Amino acid sequence: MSVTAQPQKKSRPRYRSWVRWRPYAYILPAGLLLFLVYFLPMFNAVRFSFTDADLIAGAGKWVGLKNYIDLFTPEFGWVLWRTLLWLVVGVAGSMVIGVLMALLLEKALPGRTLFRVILTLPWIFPDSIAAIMWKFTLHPGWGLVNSVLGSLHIVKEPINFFSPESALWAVIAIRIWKGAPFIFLAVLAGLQAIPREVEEAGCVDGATAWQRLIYLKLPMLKPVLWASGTILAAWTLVIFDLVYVLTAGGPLSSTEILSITIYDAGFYDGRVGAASALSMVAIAALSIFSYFYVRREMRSGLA
Amino acid sequence: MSHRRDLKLWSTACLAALAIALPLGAAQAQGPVTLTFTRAGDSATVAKVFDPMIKAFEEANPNVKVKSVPMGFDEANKRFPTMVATGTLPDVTLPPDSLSASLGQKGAFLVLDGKLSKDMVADIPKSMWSAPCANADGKTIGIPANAGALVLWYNATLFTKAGLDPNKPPKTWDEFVTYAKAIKEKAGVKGALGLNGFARNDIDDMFAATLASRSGGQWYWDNKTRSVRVDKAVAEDLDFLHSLVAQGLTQPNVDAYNRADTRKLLRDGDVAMTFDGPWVIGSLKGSADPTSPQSPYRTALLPSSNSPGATSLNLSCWNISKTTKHPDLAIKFVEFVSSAANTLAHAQGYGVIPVRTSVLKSDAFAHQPWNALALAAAGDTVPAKPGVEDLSLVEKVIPGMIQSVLLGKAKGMEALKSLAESQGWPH
Repeated sequence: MSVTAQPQKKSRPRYRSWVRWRPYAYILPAGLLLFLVYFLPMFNAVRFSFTDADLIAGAGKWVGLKNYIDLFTPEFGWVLWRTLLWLVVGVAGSMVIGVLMALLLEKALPGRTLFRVILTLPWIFPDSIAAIMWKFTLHPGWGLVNSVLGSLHIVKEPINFFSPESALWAVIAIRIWKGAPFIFLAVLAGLQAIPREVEEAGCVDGATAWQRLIYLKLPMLKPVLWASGTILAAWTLVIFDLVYVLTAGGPLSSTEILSITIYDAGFYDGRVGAASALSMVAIAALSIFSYFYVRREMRSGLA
Repeated sequence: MSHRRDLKLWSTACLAALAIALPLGAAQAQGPVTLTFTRAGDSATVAKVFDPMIKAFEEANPNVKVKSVPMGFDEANKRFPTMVATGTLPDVTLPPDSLSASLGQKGAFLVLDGKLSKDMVADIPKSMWSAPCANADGKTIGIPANAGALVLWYNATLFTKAGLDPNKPPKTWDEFVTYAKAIKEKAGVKGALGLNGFARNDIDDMFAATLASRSGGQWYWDNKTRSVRVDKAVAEDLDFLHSLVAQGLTQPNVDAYNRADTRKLLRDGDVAMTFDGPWVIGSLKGSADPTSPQSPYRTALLPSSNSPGATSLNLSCWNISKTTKHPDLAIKFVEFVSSAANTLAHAQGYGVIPVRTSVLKSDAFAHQPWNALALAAAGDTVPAKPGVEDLSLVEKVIPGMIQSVLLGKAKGMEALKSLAESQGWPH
């Protein structure tokens, strides 16, 4: 009787254990990075918000809820009000103009591609570069806008767009200039996804252009508008460099929004504890947007 | 098989990382000692002034490399605190004066007591060694480097156009207002006076200077109570500055202009006068050299009804980072750039007043526009800014208060009381 020699097999339990842990080994570097750049700073921010941590002096001692209690001042109330204005007007303005741009450039027109590229440019500029450009353009002494208005005799005296009364609106207008292209691109894609038959059916039924827009197109664009609007709102809330380079929160705190207050507390005053508490307010506001966004996505079955 | 392949992949990756890291580490261990250096300010001017000094120092010290890290004042204000927090501040720095004081109070700089050469210490006035950028809690943390006092800069050509004698600048504030009205009427300018009303840097410096010259050498900060004074003299000076704006004697929209902008107005003939320091020289050198004999720009002591020549003084110091790995070398470098010859080169090249008495007495500062600048710096001065830890107080809160009065949003006393209340100060 012959016995066929069996090839030596691997030790099965050890191999199975390795196969089970291998995927985790591959995601370990990314997980470590995520932990270091996201979870650890978040944990530290929460921790510092309960201490009197200083940028130079170090971690500081426990002060409980003092940093949060100190937020209840009229000045902070005004910061929140200005942030709300910045958010609501900035996002609404971006959406209205973005939708208008998309509707205008939806149809085949001569030079449509060129216009689409030009209208997307503001979104491509980094915020700080855009801010420097607008700061010079709107300067009352040597800005292009005042030069043109003056030479056309439209104004007798140069306009200071960044006066205490008008600075917030100027900054919001620049935000709309930057944010509208994002909505434009999203809505344009949405419009192009609407089947042509829908519009043709509307025409056949005798609907005017306005009626087709209100009763056919906009309802079909609702998911796109919702998603892009929520994302734009979250971005707008945390914008810092655009406002800081333009006005640094001035003049007379008229453009001081939450992100500027956080920066000044943390990096100007070195009060890391106070800045962390302010950051928690920003995170709480952002969480609201995230909640509605994720809830809607889950309902639509896309999450 | 795949198990072996995975092991091979991991071990190859680790070996590659080691192969890169080891030579780099070895390279760092050998080679010249590198000293990092930042003189906050206009990068091009700093390079022009300091590159020859750096080259000379490196030639005298062959194993030393000095790396200049360019940084503007605004950038330094923003980056230095985080650099201190992360231990990456350059070894030798000349920060903006209020930042120097703030960081010095927080223990960011090396204590220099007993480490400096006696000759250099003796050649710098004693009063400068107690300035906030040089002294924190009785310890020497900086070496005075250069000074700048505010004076009246004016355009002689525009004075002549307005029917005024350019050799007789205004000596009192009443005369100043009369001159300004004449210039506004006849010289065809945007404003007689270029006033910096931008509420971040330097507006408080201008305010301190006008208060000192109007009130006889006092200034707005009470060192005992660590607060802005709330009294009639301070309120009246604020209201006086507002009156210049309200009468249309300044350029329109003062709040849009910082000091760099008002220099452009002076250069372009849009204004005939401005309150500024020796930094005008460095700023305008490339386009309209104020030191040239043909230049129309002149300087005079600030008008004064009480204390002739009283003004505010900015003092900048060399500071050495507490975390420097080469403290003795850093001190050697600072003493080198603070030598009499290099101090003169720094002053003339950048447009600052030297702090070394032996250098200030030289002929280089005996004629326009240096003479009034030198006289003012050596005269009756008050600090341009208070030496406090809280940077936002001197860079934002106090300037905001001054700006609110300039723009007519509040009267002087009202603004002072409101500021005192918000800060919990006595009033």
